[in-house]
Amino acid sequence: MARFWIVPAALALGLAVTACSGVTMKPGDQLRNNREIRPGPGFLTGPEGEFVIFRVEGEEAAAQADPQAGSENHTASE
Amino acid sequence: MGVRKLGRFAALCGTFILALGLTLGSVGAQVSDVGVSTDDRVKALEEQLNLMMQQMQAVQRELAETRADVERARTAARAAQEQAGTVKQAQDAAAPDQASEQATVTSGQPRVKLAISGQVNRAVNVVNDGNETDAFFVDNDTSNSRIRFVGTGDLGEGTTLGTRIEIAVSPNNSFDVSQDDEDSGDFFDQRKVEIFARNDDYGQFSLGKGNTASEDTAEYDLSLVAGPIMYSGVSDIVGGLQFTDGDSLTGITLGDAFFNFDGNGRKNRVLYDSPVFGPGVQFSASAASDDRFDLAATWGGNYGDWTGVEIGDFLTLGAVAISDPNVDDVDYRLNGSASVLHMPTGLSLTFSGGMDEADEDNPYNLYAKLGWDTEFFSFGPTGFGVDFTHSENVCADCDEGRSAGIAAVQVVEDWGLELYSQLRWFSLDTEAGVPDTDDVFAFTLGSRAKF
Repeated sequence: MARFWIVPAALALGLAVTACSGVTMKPGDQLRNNREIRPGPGFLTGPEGEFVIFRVEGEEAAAQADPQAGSENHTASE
Repeated sequence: MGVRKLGRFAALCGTFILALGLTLGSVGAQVSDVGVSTDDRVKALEEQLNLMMQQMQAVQRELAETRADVERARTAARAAQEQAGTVKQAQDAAAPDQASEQATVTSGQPRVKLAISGQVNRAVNVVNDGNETDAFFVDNDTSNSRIRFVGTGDLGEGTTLGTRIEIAVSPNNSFDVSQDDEDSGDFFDQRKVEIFARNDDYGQFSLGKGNTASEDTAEYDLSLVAGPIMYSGVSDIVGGLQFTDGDSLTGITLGDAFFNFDGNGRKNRVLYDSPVFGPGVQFSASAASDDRFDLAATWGGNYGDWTGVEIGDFLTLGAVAISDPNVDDVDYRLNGSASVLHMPTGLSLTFSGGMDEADEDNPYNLYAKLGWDTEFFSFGPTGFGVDFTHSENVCADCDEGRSAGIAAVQVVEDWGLELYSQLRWFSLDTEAGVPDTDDVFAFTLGSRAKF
């Protein structure tokens, strides 16, 4: 039990030292849990990797209805 | 407007004809009226003629204006017709794209999505168990064949409500196939049947069958080979096979002898995942059926997506968990794993460890892997891995177990296809050397295809 905690404690210490040394840390941007159904293209589903039955009517629909509003939002977020 | 002017023109013409008739009649009468104020009458007639001339000129002006109006209307009509034709051509050109974007089935609810995905992972194992060499045709339990339905709805203000159903369809699962049962038959597993609600600020609640907090915490891994074949669960690909004593089966399966002490797995539970703090710290807790509980802390886990945390040129990922698996003679289970990938070179190091705090000798497992991801071909990355695992007291008759492997994976990105192979060695020492087990060598060739 005591030995087991050496590993996470060492990792936590390493992270603390790294953070204090001023090295930039940022979240990764790729899904890497490849033992689940792998992210990315599928043989039949194409680039999205999934069949979408119900369509999301989100920002795309709003942008089509009011293109000017969409461009304003985009500018604001930048 | 043109119609009104034409009416007025017709009325004026009628008036003119009537006045002309009356005038001619009057002239006739005046000629017969001899000697009485002839000059006056002539003068009166001249005035009437002048008046009529003025009226005729007014009618001509009205007629000219009407003709101009009609011409302008014709020009406008031609322009409108041409514009309508242009619009129709544009609509016709856009019609195929619109048709392809329209879903076959649509929902009455706005802002929802139902996505279906899945994979098939089949392999051939050629195994020498010390007694004989045989081939086994299996569904790879490292990441078995499955189909998934995920429905999500955006409730607004950063909140998502979702449902997930994931079913494994895995005939001849590699954890079931054995030397004395090469055709283990159908395998169906309701991996996930759950409802979840996620908010960026408050985290995620999940209810149903699915991952517990400690699921996969001994298996965090950034190498490419981890996906289809090589990770800390080294026995998954041949878990049902038995060690032999060189002559007959011992009853000890490779799945019994090698275990990474991952947490409570997938259970009927309620799970809470905290929001992500800082660059990637997250905490999880779950309570599952049959008095199972667990807690986990992850680094870069990101709700199970394993996006990691970038520190300079390195991508890092890690997890630790403590769980009560409600197993006889086990007080609690500890496990953890960490993986570091040097992104410019593709080299990675992965470690995993786990143990049970038991009434007698504590069983444990340690695992290490060196990985290398590169890109030899334009159609997808290539991955290599070499690993080693050491365990003790994992099963009742087990003493010390060792396994080493070497693996390669080639991804064909556009087709969602992975081709992989692995050569793995297993060795087991039993308590007091009884039974005396022979080493097992397993060569695997397989393919995982995402559809």
